[in-house]
Amino acid sequence: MRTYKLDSTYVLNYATAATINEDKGELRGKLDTVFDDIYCDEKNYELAEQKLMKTSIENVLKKSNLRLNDLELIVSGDLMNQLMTTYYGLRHISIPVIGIYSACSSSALGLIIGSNYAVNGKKVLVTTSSHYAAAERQFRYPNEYGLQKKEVVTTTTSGAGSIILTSKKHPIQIEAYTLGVIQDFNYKDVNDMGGAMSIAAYDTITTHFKDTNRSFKDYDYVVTGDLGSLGLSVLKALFKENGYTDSLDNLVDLGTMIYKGCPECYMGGSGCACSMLMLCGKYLPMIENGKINSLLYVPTGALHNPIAVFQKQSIPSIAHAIVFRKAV
Amino acid sequence: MTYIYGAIYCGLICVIGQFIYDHTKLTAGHITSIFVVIGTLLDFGDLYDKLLVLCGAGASLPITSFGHSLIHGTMFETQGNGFLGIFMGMFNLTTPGITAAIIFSFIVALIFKPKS
Repeated sequence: MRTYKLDSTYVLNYATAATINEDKGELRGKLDTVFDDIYCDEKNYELAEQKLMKTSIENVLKKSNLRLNDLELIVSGDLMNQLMTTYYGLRHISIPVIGIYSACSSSALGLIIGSNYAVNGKKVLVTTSSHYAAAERQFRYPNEYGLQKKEVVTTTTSGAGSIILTSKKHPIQIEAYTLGVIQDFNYKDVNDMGGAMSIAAYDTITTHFKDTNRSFKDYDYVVTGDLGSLGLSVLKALFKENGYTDSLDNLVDLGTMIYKGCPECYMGGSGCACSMLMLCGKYLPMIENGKINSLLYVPTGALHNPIAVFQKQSIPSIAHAIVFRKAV
Repeated sequence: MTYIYGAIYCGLICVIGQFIYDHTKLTAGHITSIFVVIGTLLDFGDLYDKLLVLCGAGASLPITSFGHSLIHGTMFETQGNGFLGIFMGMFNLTTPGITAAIIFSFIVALIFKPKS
């Protein structure tokens, strides 16, 4: 049994910060702070990512009328080596910090860990961030190199999202979560990680359905993190091949949607911030406004390590699932 | 005619490079290395020298010319020094190219910041 039920975990508030590129597609006008430049008025991309994270935290605190010291804990995830954004960005605050890494599925892991601390009225802040150019430099090639992109690559989202969890009743409830298992089917193409992650998404979603006796029709939306258009079609094919007769119309991919209408973004968005921005910018408001009732949120992470790839290792991947529901 | 041949040869190199990049897992680094080796191999029978006469800058500009210069520098030194010439002459003719690359990239790095 990999699915755990939560009795009273609620989303107190949520907020985002991103750059001009994220403001063009699906999230146009839905972001709390938008920086005109991907440097975010900082000296380098790493500092820019830290600024995005700090801005999203400030935004969510302001929205919910809280001060930093009202928080019990911050759970934070990012893509940088040694969790640079988390630990450097939060080094001057005086509350506990848990840094987590689960690649692009960090937002789900953060919410899972956070929900276990948000008990007895305590408030826990969960944040994740990523930055296109900082990730590009670390995982692929130097920014100055100006490499030609391949058709199947995804674009790391620049931005950060923060969610405050609490045990007191609020409109959005986190009802259950399903922990992912590391999957590795010997995928080796670093340019096409959607394919590798689709297997992890398939495993987690089917396990969740089996554990809870539910299926696609029990959710308004089942959203995967950042498979990209190619990965999403692999996932849909997996469901069809394995005898799922449900309509897959409500299975959508956040990475495919975030940069809608952007030809230079190729397969879509990725990164810790991609699924978090879409969750905070689009789906949580939909639940809050009563437009939808339930959401199965399944961010996927390619646990890709550049050194392992140089040593000709394959790319493992993981996906965690969380059920968001309108509180009754 | 040199202009036309030059455009054809240079364009052909680019087409081959793009084709390899799009259809294999090889990176830009692999592809340039392959072209350097091809340029060196084309020195057999003075083939590349003939291309240089025929295509002018069209043949001396692409990376294949780098391989051609490597082998010529090496061959020249080996005439006087034998086997040791391989180590002495390899970069003789390519020094200006390498040095220019280092100096210009240094200057550009001082002035500009990457945009993405």
